[in-house]
Amino acid sequence: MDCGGVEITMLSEDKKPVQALQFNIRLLFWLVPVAFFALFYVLPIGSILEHIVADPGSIGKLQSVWPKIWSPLKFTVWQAVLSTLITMLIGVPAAFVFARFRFPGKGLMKILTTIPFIMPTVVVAAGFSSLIGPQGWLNVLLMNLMGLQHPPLQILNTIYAIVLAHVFYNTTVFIRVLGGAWSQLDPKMEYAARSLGASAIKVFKEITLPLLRPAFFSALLLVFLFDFTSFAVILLLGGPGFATLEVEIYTQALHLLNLPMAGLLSFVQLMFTLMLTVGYSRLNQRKSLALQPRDPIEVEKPAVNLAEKMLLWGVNLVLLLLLISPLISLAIRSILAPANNAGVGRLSLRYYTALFVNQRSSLFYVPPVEAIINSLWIGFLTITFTLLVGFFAAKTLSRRTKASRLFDILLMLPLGTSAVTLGLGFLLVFNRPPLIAGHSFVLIPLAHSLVALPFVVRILQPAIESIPDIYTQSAAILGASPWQVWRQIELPLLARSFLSGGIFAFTISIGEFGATTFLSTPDLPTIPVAIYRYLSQPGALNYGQAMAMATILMVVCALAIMVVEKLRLPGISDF
Amino acid sequence: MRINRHLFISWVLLILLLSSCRPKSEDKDITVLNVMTHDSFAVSENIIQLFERENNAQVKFLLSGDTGAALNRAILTKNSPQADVFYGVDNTFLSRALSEGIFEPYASNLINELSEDLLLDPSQRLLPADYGDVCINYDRAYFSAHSLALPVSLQDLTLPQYRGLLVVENPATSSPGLAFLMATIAEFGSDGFINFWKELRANGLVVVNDWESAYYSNFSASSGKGSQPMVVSYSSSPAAEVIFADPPVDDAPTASLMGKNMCFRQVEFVGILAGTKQRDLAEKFVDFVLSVPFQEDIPLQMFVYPANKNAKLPKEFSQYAQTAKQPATLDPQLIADYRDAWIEEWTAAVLR
Amino acid sequence: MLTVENIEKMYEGKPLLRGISFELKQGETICLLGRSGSGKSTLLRIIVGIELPDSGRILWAGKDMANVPIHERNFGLMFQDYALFPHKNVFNNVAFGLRMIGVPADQVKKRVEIELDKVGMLNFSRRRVTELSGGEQQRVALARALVPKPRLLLLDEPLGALDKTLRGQLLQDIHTLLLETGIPAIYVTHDQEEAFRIADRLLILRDGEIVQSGAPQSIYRDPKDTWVAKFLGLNNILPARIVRFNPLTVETDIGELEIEPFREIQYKIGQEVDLLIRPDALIINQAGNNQISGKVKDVFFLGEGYHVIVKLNSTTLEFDLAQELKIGDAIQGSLDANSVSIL
Repeated sequence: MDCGGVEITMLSEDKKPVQALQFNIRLLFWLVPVAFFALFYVLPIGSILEHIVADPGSIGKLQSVWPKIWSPLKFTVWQAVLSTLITMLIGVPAAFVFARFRFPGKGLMKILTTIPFIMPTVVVAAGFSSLIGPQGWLNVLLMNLMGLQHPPLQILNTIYAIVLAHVFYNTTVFIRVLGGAWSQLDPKMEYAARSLGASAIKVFKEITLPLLRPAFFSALLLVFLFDFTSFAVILLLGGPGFATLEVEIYTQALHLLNLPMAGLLSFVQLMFTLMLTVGYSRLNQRKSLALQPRDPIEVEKPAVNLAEKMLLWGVNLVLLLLLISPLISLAIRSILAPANNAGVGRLSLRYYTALFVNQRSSLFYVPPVEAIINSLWIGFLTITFTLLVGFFAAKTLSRRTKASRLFDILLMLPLGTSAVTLGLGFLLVFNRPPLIAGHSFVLIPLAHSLVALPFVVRILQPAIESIPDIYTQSAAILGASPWQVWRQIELPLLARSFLSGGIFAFTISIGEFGATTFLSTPDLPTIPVAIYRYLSQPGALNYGQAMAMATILMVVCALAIMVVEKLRLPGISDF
Repeated sequence: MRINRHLFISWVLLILLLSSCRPKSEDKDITVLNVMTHDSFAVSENIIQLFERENNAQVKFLLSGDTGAALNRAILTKNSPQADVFYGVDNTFLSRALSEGIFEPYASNLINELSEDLLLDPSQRLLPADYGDVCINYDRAYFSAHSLALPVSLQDLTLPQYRGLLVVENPATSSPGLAFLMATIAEFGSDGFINFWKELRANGLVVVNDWESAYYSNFSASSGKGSQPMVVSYSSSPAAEVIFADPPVDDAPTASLMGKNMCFRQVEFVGILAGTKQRDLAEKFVDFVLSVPFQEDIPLQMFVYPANKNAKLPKEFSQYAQTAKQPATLDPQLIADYRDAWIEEWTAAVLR
Repeated sequence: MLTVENIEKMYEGKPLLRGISFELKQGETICLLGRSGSGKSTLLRIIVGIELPDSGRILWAGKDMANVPIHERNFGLMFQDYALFPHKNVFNNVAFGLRMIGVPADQVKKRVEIELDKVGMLNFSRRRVTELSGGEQQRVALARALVPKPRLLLLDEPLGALDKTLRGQLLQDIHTLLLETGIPAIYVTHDQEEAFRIADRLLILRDGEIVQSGAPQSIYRDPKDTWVAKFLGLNNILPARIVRFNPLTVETDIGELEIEPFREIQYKIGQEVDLLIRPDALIINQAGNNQISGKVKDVFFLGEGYHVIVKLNSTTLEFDLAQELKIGDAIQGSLDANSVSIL
């Protein structure tokens, strides 16, 4: 396949002008993602680092601070490795189950497991503490059952809470990225291996794993980077005993106003991310083999024997416990009014009705419907930007030149970059028309796209590579213009990848992303912003309203994903 | 193919539909005044409309994260200021903000209406707009159920009967946490405070990173039903507990400990950002902020006290919230000089 | 050796396989012949152990295989799209099965090379499988399936993706290898020509049921009904009426025809039946019974002979003939009574 030029070359007698055209189109394909990346990543990050270096004396100050960097760096890497490994232990079987089995409620489970990804950490912390906090339901239950005086589960503010929250957030990355690839892997390959005497475990080791390696490493890297730059989880669930680089950057930049130190920490973080992505790209040089869009009927089957059934139900049980029960406890909180005088809790919708009343006639009151519309709007803009830039980028990267590999590495960097630094960089760079941080609402979806882009490229690129050249060539021979080739051949074949990329972009956008704090425009508050507003003041009503708003966020997101997933169905029936 | 066309068309329609929900573009004839502030800022709609109508202006607020984030933003963009007025520098950041040179002096006529002890900037670049006391809130039900006497001084908190009962915020990441640290420094001095904290730590002190966790997850009198009956919060929190009670209550479930130096007074300032192109309107806005209508709106919006002596308090405040009689205070310059060192010392003593 | 016993399978509420039973003897090759959707691939997957039947049993030498996992069954398997492991080269693909059962490395090398030599792929052993042509890939897949000496070989449309000449050649190779090794095989295809050439026994599947089974030649000579006949490519079917017995004679559009019946079936005089005339029935310019005459409508050169479309009265029939004829030629001859049967 080509970027539009080659098709004409095949028909053309006179090659010269056509090659020039081809060159231009290819350049355009480069230009879009490179310009986007340069403008919205390199420029802000570069200017913030430059700003710090330009500050006289800041370099001198930095010489004595190595221990201050070393200790959070060590902890950051350690907790990220631990969290990633445990997420992997749950995510890989989950990806397998979702890719290969047909079971009742699968669609719903798939959506529910995506929801954690979008939940603001403040409410997740509330969800966890209402489940496993000292007075949490689970602890109360265990104390009653076992007649204990003290709550048996004491994991809040420990490393376990951090790992638990990371698993909660990132398991869906394995399900989506690895599971997505897995469902495109020809199951006959595995059957052939089984029939040749390989046990299920050996098939996994010898066949499945090597073939899924690119997707596996992608998922692993993405999860690691999320854990590596984890901020709110560490802050809220880990407690003050733990500080990652990101938390240090936040503290240094925003509480101690020590920008040079924050800059240095960001630089260290960036270098580590760069090292990691370079290593990843070395590992992942080969083109993804043997992945073809497949009909689910061919790939999915019901669990037949006991082992499969145990795996299926085991995985679903774990997902239910770890990923979904905190969500359910939030939803219950939102409809559970506090105990009355008789000491009995009752169900009520009053937190929801209260959302619609501007109780203090505040200028910053957020009507829920408006918050939903704003969130959706930002989400849809993010999808549009990400898919647009992502398509050009994936197309460029699928050529696998040296330059494209370098670009591939760079594209991953935003994921491993401090949100605080990026946000401050945006402030520094976008301070005059047409783009002003905090005024220009469009910067929010642009910042979201930056984070969503690596995901979308990772989804689109293998799909683009798997379209045989012959399709586009034969279409061109039949007289299709490059545009028609794209519309008639590539787009339909890529429809499914576009949709799953779109879901990713949407979830990243809907969930909060740190840099957005610096960009949020008060006249367009989103659902997470509304939740923060409620939780920043004392009072049962505020707490209840925050839970209600969080529940609305879950429902809106589930509905949006459901709609997008439904769109898939007709599109893929043709292959 | 038809599917794709449908998809494409519905996508475009959706975007158009959502666009139509966007607010209308603003009127060009109206001057816009930009106010930068932190995201806990709040004000009643009709109060701001009052100002807007009077001056034929539109006020746009830039809420950028917490106080530190907002101030950072002002500092980073000082060469091309994004706003005309900044609201919300507090006394822990005061000297730092002044030394960055981001504010212009403005001697408002309303200065003599403000409480004298809040006027911390003699250069009159930053004028006090509100204040609040960071105090320990306690769970009244817990103390009466356990017939426990209330601690009357900071030192009391190290007594064995209060073992494990107090949750505080990390001063490195939380502004009430920092304020409480300042209270202890005011009480025990910069040499003695660490010893006090070591004793507190030995007495089962619980530290969390942010006010939300402390209040909603750890504090026993909040909806989170945590384990600690004492939390570092604001002296106005009991009033908020009444206003936002569910079901309504006659009396606050919490109250503040008001012993000498047990509360730290946080003052928030308003100032005109250097380089504003609308100095006149900015001055008018600062005057408006310091005037009685705005000042009387402050308590129920932000749960802090008005700086203007003539502003009357709402009844929930006079009934359930108190201000400390002997609040702890520290010289802003001292805070600016030692803040980092104190936090580091504290971190080493309490967290490591 | 293999006994398939009363296999039933439903898919989404519809029956996919209904009461399938048959036996496979040592050294025998059975062909499952059916259109796509007839359930033949599902049956194969059930035998392999990829899917479980709703009811019924698969037995090997009398032992129920229900609890024997796929990798312990020692059944070889070959797919239409080969399912070669794209991350392994030719040698490692073929060696895979031996390594899985723990054959020592030196023996693996020897046996793989012997097997690759048999399929003529020895020179390719270091090549990546993704660089091979379809036919080459198929040979590698065959070698891979055979090298661990499976006790049963299952082939799922193994030649479906190849062109005709290659198909003929590979079919021959497979047949030779099956004969040499004596491995019993089940060969799934929708191509009757392939089936006729390789099968010792044919099972014809229609909508999940075996409609006819037997040796290829007996099925070809006496298809059970119109559907089977047409499925086998026998298109000369015309309505007829029984007019007398001894010899059995029917009346048709092309005249009265005598028939040598295969089966002892009681017909009644005047009964309406379907008559099948196989394409080899016509012997031109020969006197005798069953004389017919018509006109050549179309001729196809097949290499070894001609396929001729003949118009007789209002009926069109197809015949395979050795003689060259031209379109429009008048044609006359007799129909061999052995090549005409009542369905």
